[in-house]
Formats: sequence, C-alpha cells, structure tokens
Amino acid sequence: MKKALNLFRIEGIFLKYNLIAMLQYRLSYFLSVFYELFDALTMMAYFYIVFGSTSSIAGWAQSQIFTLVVVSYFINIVCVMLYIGMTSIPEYIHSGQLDLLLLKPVNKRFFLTFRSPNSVQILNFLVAAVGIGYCVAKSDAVAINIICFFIALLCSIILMYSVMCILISLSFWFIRIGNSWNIIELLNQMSAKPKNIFPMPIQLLLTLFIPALVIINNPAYILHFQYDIFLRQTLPITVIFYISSVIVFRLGLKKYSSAGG
Amino acid sequence: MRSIITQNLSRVYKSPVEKTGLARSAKGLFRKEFKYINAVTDMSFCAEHGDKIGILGLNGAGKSTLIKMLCGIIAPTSGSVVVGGYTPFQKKNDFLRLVSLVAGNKSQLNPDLSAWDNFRFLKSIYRVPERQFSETARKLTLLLECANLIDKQIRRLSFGERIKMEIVAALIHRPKFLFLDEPTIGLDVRSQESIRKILSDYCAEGDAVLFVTSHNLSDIVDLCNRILVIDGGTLRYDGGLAAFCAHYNTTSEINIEVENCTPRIREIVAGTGIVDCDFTGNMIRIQVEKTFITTVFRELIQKLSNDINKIQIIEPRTEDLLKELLIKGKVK
Ligand SMILES: Nc1ncnc2c1ncn2[C@@H]1O[C@H](COP(=O)(O)OP(=O)(O)O)[C@@H](O)[C@H]1O
Ligand SMILES: [Mg+2]
Repeated sequence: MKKALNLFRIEGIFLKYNLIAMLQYRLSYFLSVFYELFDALTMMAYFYIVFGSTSSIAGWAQSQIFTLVVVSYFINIVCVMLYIGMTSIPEYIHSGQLDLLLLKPVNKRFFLTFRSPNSVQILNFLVAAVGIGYCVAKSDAVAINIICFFIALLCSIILMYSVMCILISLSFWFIRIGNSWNIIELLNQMSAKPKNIFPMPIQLLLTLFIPALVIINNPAYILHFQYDIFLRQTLPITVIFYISSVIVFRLGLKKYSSAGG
Repeated sequence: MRSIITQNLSRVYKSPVEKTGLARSAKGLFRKEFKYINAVTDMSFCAEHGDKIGILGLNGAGKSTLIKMLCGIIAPTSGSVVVGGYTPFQKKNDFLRLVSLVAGNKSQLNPDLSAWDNFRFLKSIYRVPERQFSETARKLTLLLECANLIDKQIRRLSFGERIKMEIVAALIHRPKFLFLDEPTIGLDVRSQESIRKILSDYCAEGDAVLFVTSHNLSDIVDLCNRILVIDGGTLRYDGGLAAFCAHYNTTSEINIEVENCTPRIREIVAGTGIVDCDFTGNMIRIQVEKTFITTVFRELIQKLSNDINKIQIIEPRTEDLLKELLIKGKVK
C-alpha cells in the first residue's frame, strides 16, 4: 500500500516537471495535443464517410461503432499522456544513457516507463472522457455491463502498457529494434472496427498474440453486447501480458551491458 | 568497517564480431560469431570510508567497467562485489540512495528543464529534506560559479557548464559512495580546479568514498590518496599515491647550464655514476639514481666548478611520473 502511494507520488512529480518543461519551453508539445485530436477526428470522419450510409455492420449499430472509435481515442490518449516516454528507452539502451537512470531509488520499470509523460494531453483526455461518458449514457446497457466496461477500460490501459513494455524490452537483446510505436498505432487503428469483420485466424492473432482487439474492441463489446467476455478474455489476457512484461523487463535489465565510455 | 570489498571481480563482454564487406556481412545474418572481451579480470581490493581512490589506466583498460560494476549498472560475470553491505547489482533502493555516478559523457539531467528544476526533481525523487536541499544546492552552485546559470534550460548550457550542474545534481542526496568517470573531460583549467575543490571539500565533510577515473592526471594527484593502476583489465598496483611514486620514482634529474659544452666536460659527466644524460647546446640533463644523487652532485660541483653557470636538481612532477609509467607500461 505504502509502495503504491509512493508510485502515485512519483507519477505526480513526473507530471509536474513535465508540465513545467512544456509550459516554459516547448511549443511542439502543444502541437501534439492538436495532432492527437486531429487524429481522432479523422478517424471519426472516416467512419461516417465509409459506414454512414449503412445502419449496421457485422451486427454493430452505428452508435456502437462510435463507441469503438471513442475507446480507441481514449486508450491512445491515456497511453500517450502517461507512458509514451518509454519509446525512447531503446535509444537509451543503445547509447548507454540508461546507466544513470538505473541508479534512481525507484522501481526501475516504473521509473523508466513513466518518466517522461506528455502532460498537456490532459486536454485530449478530458475530451475523450466526455466522449466515453456520452457513449455510456446513450447506450441501453445495464449496470453490470457498465461496471465491466469501466474495469475493461482499465485493463486495456494496463494491457497496452504491457505490450509496449514487452516490445521495448526486446531492445535489450536486439539493439536496433525499429519504431515499435508505429506498429502499435497501426494495430490500434485497424482494431477500431467491429471484430467480426476480420477472418477468424486474424481475430485470434489480434487477440492472443498482439491483443489489439482485446484492448480496443472488448470494452465496446462489453458495453453493448455481452459482459462475460471480460472474464473469458480481457482479464486473463491482461494478467498474462502484464506478468510477461514484468518478466521480460527484468531479464532485459539483467542482460544490460551498458555502452560507451 | 570495510565499506567496499571486491573479490576476484571479473567481467567478460560478449559482443558480436562485426563483419566487413557485403558477402561476409550477409553471411553474418545467419550465423553470428561472438568474441569475448575480458574487460576486468580477477580484481580484489577493499576500500574504507574516507578513501579517495584514483583509477588509472589507458583507454580500454577496464576503468569504466569496474565503476559500472561498483555502482550496480552491470553485473559481474564472476567474483563478488559488496558496497556498503549491499550487492550493487540488486539495486536495492536503500543502496541507490547511498551512491552517485557522474560520467563525463552521460547526462542525468532533463535537457528541457532548468538546472534548478532538475535539482528539485531529484530532491523529490530522493526525498531530500528542504533545508538540506537548499543549503547544498546554494553552496555548491556558488562554489562552482554557476549560480547565475541555474535558471537556464540545460540544453542551452555549454558543455562545461552542464558538467558542473551534473556534479551538483550528483551531490544533492549526499551520497556515501561517489563515482566519477572522467568528470573533467573537456573542461578548462579553471573549471577543473573548482570541480576538484568541490569534490575534495565534499569528501572532507562527510566520510564518503570517492572513486575517480581521469585522463587528467592532475585530477588524481589533487584528489586522491590512493590509486589503482589497471592494465588490460588486471589490477597492477593498489596503494598510496606517495608510496607509488617513491617506489617507481627511482631517478632524479640534475640540470646543468655551462658556458661551453666541451668534450672534456662531456667526459667528466659520463664518468660520474649516472643512468643517462642528454646534451643540448650548453644545457646538460643528467638522470641519476636517487640513492647516488648527493654523491654525483658533489662530484660534479667539484670537477666542473669553473664551467658551471647554474646547477639544479629537478624532482619529476607526480603527473609526469604517472604518465610515463602508464605509457611505458612499467608497472608490473
Ligand atoms: N558494452 C560493451 N560491450 C562490449 N565490449 C565492451 C563494452 N564496454 C566496454 N567494452 C570493452 O571492454 C574493454 C574495457 O572498456 P572500458 O571499461 O570502457 O575501458 P576504459 O574505461 O578503461 O577506457 C574495452 O576493450 C572495451 O572495448
Ligand atoms: Mg572509460
């Protein structure tokens, strides 16, 4: 408990100093707010142009597809806001800059992954949160679906974190790992569609190996259709991926042999 | 109490053999070959509080590797290291609060923040009490003559200014074990001096253990009371700096200026019990074994009293001595 509180305290410190840096010096951070917002708007426009004339696709009504888009936006924003900074870890490993970061008296995985957040995304976060609220209000879901929906959202955030963490830890072994962030973004955009439109093998792939469907699709599915998928898929997959990420990261740190100087 | 103990500490790096040429590189895609580098081999030594240790060695000797193992960044391949009662590589938070590392070529400061905000960030991470923090930060920045730069964004500082800030940042939580890997690399003489002053003050105040590697031998001579000489990953010498010099510094130099360097003078000089001599114009530089220096000196004065304009005994500077020993690989 005390440990968890300390992590919250440190996350607060990260956000605070990140905000200071942004407010004082970097216009580009603010541009990133508009970039993400623009991204979400394009995605919505895309849906209304492509699916606007049909009333339902693969059993999903238009409003339900809208939930998918909002969930995708929301997860994306939380990820960018809190732990996008971890994408520079491969570079730190490569250059040996990781050395000094490893000497901080804070849980290493937490410190490295949450160290440089993007705090101005709080603006996008608020917009996304309102969107989520709107989707829930418009749906005719019952209490149990709504509760599971919110827990599933939390799981999605953790799952997304775990997947990124695993990908990034791989650079302890393969120094030159490409820009894994692009792959994730691509998958997210792909999976913000009713999952039934994918052939079964691809659905399986996107559920078990790269759980993009679990992250984006399941919350919306839980809200609008059946909540039992939460226990059958979301929860176990999140737990498995989270534990794997912890293990892979630990092994990676053991393997770290520094560089330079 | 011994605060650092290493026993048969070794580190082997495994690194892929880089292939040259297209055909060989392509082959390397399928079968990777590795080579093993013994960066540190079988090092055993102890250190106590108050020790200020300089690590000497040529490029690639294994100095940085040793430091990285001492502060827990990388694991030893074999042997053991204990620092302040902890095994460094486990990176226990209580251990990490005791150590600090400054590496000239690496930065722990966030380039987007000012130095002051960086310090405050570290203060919160290490939970340094407010009083202690403002005292330390103010005092250090004044001493380093960088108090006026404290509000400047790190990325706008010059290299030397940044290193000063790195040193302040490293001392904010008052570490008991301070590791410095080439801290004065690329700094001007004045900055080097102020950094040395800060460090020796810091060590005098508390009883921190200091480890310094530097190519700048004056750093070592000024700061350290003990040296480890490393060559090719093995420890060649471990002991006091003064003892080291006494042991290896076996010759002194006598410089004579004469009116005119005639063959007769050369003969007389060569006839005294000297190790080596060098005639340039009317200057004669003579290397003499320390134990015979008085005899030789007296003999020269007697025999050459009419020809000598000036005669003096020159003690080699410690820096020069260290340099010579390192380069010629005399340390065995
Ligand atoms: N991360 C690494 N991977 C592979 N080899 C390394 C690595 N770091 C250092 N080495 C090798 O180990 C030896 C010692 O390096 P280092 O400790 O950096 O020397 P120094 O600091 O004394 O110049 C060198 O031969 C160097 O090439
Ligand atoms: Mg080095």
